[in-house]
Amino acid sequence: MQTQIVKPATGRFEGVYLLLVCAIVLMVCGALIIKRHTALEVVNLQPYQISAFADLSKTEQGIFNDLYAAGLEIQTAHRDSNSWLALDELVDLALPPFEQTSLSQSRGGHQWSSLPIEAKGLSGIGYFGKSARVSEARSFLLVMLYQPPQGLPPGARVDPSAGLSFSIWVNSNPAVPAPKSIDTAALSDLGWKEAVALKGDEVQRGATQRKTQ
Amino acid sequence: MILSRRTAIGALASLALAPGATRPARAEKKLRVGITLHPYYSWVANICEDKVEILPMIKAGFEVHNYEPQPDDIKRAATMDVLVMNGIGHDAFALKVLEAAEVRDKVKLIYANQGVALIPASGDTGEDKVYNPHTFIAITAAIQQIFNIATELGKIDPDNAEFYRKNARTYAVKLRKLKAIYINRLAGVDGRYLRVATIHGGYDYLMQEFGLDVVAVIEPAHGLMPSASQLKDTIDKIKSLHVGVVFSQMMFPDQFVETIKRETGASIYTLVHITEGDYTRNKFEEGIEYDMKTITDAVLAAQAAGSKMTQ
Repeated sequence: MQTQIVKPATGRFEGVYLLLVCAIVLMVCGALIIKRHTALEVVNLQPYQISAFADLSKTEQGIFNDLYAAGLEIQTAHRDSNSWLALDELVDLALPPFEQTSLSQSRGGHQWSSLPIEAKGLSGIGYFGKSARVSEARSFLLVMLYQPPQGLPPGARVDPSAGLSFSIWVNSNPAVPAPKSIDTAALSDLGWKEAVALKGDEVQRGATQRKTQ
Repeated sequence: MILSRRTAIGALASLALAPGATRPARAEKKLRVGITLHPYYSWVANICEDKVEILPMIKAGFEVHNYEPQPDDIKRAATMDVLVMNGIGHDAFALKVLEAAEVRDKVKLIYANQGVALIPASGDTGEDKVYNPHTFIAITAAIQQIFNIATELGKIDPDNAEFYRKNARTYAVKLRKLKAIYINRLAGVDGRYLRVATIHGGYDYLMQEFGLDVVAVIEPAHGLMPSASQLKDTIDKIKSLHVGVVFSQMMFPDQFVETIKRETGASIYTLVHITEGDYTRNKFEEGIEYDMKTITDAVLAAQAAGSKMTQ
């Protein structure tokens, strides 16, 4: 009589092979994830800065965006005329938030005034919007600056945007006076905070997180 | 044989650029400016007038939310000198098309949203807010982009830089005056207390300009239709938030809109996304005016009805 021993079908080797395949897949995927990983850029805010994206109310974001667009347009006008637009010119251009409308009245009722800025080698203007109701929206200050580029070689093509910059500040003090100086320390001492936008180019670079330094 | 999408695009590009293929002779050497979305066509047309040739990357009739590159699009992209793009949403396909056309390094890119201040997407209450990419459905954000485009085109084409800058300013004033007409329609109306929901999350920038707060966005994710259970959750949310007005959009199926209207009693108005139809110089103005008229109609009707304005 011939006896044949048949081993039970435990599937032990198949199980090992399957585990091996799983391990290989995990290793390959892990390696690809590590290879393609890019660090998220974090934009640090200074103590005198706040994020317009995260720290302003929706109403304030509306005013901020209006001021931001106005800043770009005032820069464009400065390139053409080498002078800053007066407040009544901004109103004539129907440029929000300077124009008084029903909307501006429901967003804090800001009263705007302009503050010429003179300093050595620098020209600028501040547009100060004092809020009538800080519970709706805080006071705003748009600071426009122009510092002519120095040390350019003769005949060099000048970037029309060179030397132009602007910043937007907010203040929650209901009795805040018009600032007399626009340097960062002076504004910060009076409780002004610079609102910094999350901008499209930062999103493209992956800088979607901000933190206060 | 199964070809991957990239291989297929590459093959099509090779066909488009095959040796011997001749390009039509140009009567005049103009800068060939590509654009990805309809508003950018209108903006470039108003900034540059006839100083450039404008080439839409997508043919009229295709929808950006589910666009797949076509052979003609790749062929056209191969002839561009410059491409104006949103860069923060809706047109990620553009770079793939340029790569497929093997002109990614040749074509100068103008990111219209460079330096544009973004706002969080509505309905997002989490700690990490998500930005809204629809800066092209608004006046203020449009003006920011128009100045950006004019400045960047001026760098590429310095001879016409002043012309572009001047036109950008004129166009900005025109757009602001258009908005002022509709802002003034709401004189004496405080829209802050009107609770508004939108089907698509594309109108936050425009609503912000009218002082309206979008409390809910109905689509579960950008460009996606809600499932039955998601629709039920949305209806519950609209009821619990006392939403008075829902803004739908042209592409959204009628059955969803009818169900929301029937179940919530909210008034429904339809907005346009300004990314459909023919490319024209006035497309943006027509689309944005339609939206502004619709929004102000809705606010005035809600005020007249006295409903849910003073929750």
